[in-house]
Amino acid sequence: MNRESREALQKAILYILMAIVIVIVLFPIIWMGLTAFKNDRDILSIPPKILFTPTLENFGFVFERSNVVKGLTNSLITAIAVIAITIPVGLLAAYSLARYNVGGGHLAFYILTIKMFPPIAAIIPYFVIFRNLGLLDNLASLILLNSLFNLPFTTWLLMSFIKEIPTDLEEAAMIAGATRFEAFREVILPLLRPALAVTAIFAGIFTWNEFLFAYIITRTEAITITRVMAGFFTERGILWGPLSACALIATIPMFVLALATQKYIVRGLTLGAVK
Amino acid sequence: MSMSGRIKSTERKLALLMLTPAIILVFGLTLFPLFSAVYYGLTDLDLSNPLSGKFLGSFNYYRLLTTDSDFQQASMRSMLFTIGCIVIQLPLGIGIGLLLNQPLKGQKIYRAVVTLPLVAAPVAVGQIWRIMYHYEFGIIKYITELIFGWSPNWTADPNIALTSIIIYDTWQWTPFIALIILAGLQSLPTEPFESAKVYGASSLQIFRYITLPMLRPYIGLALIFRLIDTLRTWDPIWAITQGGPGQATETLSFYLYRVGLKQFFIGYACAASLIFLYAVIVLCAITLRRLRL
Amino acid sequence: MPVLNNINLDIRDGEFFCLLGPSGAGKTTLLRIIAGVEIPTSGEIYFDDRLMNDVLPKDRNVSMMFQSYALFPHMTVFDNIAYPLRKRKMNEQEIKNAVEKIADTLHIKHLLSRLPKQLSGGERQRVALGRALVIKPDVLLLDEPLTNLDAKLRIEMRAEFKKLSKELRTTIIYATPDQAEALSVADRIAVMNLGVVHQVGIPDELYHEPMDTFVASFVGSPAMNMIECTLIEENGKAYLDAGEFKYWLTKSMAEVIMKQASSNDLILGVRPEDIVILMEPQEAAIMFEVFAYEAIKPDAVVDLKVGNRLIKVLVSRELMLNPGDKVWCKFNRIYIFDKKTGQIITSEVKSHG
Repeated sequence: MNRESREALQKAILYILMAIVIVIVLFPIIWMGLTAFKNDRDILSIPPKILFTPTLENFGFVFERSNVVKGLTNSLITAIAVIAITIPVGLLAAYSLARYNVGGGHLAFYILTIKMFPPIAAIIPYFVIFRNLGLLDNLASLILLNSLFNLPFTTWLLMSFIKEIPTDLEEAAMIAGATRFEAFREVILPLLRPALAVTAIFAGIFTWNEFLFAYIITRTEAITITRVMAGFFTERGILWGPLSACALIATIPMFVLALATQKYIVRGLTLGAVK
Repeated sequence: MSMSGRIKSTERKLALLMLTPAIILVFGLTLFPLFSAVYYGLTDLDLSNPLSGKFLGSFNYYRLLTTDSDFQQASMRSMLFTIGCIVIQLPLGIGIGLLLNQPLKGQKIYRAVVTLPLVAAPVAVGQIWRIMYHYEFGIIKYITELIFGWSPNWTADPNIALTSIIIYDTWQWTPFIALIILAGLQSLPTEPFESAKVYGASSLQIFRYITLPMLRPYIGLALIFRLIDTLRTWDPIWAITQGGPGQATETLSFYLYRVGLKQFFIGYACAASLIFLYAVIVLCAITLRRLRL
Repeated sequence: MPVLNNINLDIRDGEFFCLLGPSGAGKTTLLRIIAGVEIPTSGEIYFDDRLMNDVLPKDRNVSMMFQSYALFPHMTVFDNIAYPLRKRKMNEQEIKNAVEKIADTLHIKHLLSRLPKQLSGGERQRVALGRALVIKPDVLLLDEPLTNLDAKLRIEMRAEFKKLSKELRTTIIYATPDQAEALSVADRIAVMNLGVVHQVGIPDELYHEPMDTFVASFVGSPAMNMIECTLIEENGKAYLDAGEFKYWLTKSMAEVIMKQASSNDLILGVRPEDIVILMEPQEAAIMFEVFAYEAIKPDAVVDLKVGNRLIKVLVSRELMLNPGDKVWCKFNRIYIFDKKTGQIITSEVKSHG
């Protein structure tokens, strides 16, 4: 085989591999989409059906019989609140740690270890405490918990971004007449805008997708969209159709967000890796 | 003796001031529950029994570490799960990362599509995998039978259930590793590769002796992340198997859930979670140290 | 190992003072301490009689030009230069005038609305300079401002700096690793290495009266030849035994050396331009063989070899030499250094034409 055709073959293999990956990646998502539009009989049919008459009855069920609207609203509120808390707090902490190394690495390590906590281990004492204080099923409790668990990641990511900016810039500003805080506000902050966007997106996605805390801490008032799904596991059995429809409703916003901010997400991961 | 203390202390004050909100949040919210967990771990607190709360000393710990086979088996399963996930996902992630780095047409779209599993709520996606894995009408069983002529019952089979979850986890998180590796590949300098080609090295040799060593920090990062995350996995287990069949997929996280929040043996569960916490921290410290060196 | 060790410098008002040394010498650290962004572990800094240690950078009325230029990437050239003025709460019209004036002087007026990333290296350097000069500082600190420029631009800018320093009356402190640069622009120079100041003086002093081997070999290009040797006394006469050759000393020199040296191990220093090459043997001339010949306009540098030792000599182009030729050398000016301490012991000037 000569060189040209060998290279062509290699390229073809790469395309095939890539196609396989894409198919595997998309398959469950597409299946979720299909299932949401199937009626009960089609869902349970053996062998599974690819061609069927789509129906909106699952969505109807979801919207009539469950708290999905409230769930969506609460998820949105929680996500925004968590972003509003963790970004400023994390930014200040990140700047302080990145530029001054307060506590000589120990403090940073402690904040990072929170990231390592298995949430299930943390939630048990929280459950007892909230229960005793009557703070269950409370959006504020949920926001608090999510903020706590998102803060390490936010701080760490922002720290990486801040370290990318040379200290020369703040020093030049300070020599030119700025206080440290003015230098931070006028020179560093504008440069961090894309970084803040990335961090906000990640924090938002994590909070939106969060299930464990929502499941344990909320019931009906502070219900989030992920918790709504749990409601389809009834004593009579699992309501597959509405469950899929709800899953679709829960994930579509994130897919749209991911595709729209694709650039930012990849950048965020990139930078975290470069550290 | 230095008289420059003033500037230094002003700067220091600002630094501490900036940290304060974070410190309040973090310490306030972690120390109290931590102490509570330590305290409860020493009692027999049972939320379904209002008379419980007796101080037991280290009895819970003793029981967990010696006679509680549930705890020990759950620990085993956690380890198996983590090892299984890492062993499969790391090479796969590297492979896909390499693939995404190739100059193929439509590369941007592929990269965008590959991020989708990462942003989907694990519990939502878990539901779908539950449907797909169903031993009666699940499509996975159907396709496997189509290809191999036979298929296990996946999540209904205690022997395969944990593997099923590993497969799900691979689907959801391998893109994460792939993207980190991709970032790494894109940041590598081109000179070593060019000179290797001039010297006539084969693609395989280049990969083994140049690419892989240079990717070490990125692989390390992916490894740490996955290590921590797989130990924490809870959402998908709840969604796909609820810890079953029986206790076949009850990893430590799920064990804690069952004992602490379903059976309400708070004291016992707190003790278990502290052991768990300690093990995770030690494991991470060891891994970090081995990677930095 | 301290970054700066026991630095004592007295810089005069309005002078162009150079910090000269290789990387790691501590020049940047010293500049930053003067600017106030770095705090010394001990010691005091005075501007005139005012103790500056506790004064914030913004209150010191100094300007600093960073090696990396440190231009604010998200601001236009105009806003970059205007920044110090805005911090001093000048009104916008005055700011506009001042910025345009300095931009004009530096030939960057046409770039005022651009962003730093759209500029070339030389343009960015001038913007950084503009930002430093626009407030008329008491002290202007320059950290290797020419290092990132290409050779031609560097020589041009050297002349510009010299001109600028004469026009402004500011005290200028200029850090550079380039000894030719320092020698050409500075009033006085402090030669530094590894956190220690070796010598402070006017360019002439550093060149002709170095105090130790570091200054002697760092200042001047091509570098001074350093020849290790031992002092030997023989029958009432003394010579330096360099292994491959002997250098006979006068009685007075020998006395000075014996009195001041810590041992008989010495270093003989002679600059390439202080060596005379003769085509025929002469009394007291040392024989060398030509090893290499390198033409460097307007002269040439010849590598001479004796035994295993190579020395460099600066000659005029008219002297045609080929490798293998035998020549004889006399030294017009030599320096004797104590090998152990590196300090200068004495020097001697002869004239051999």
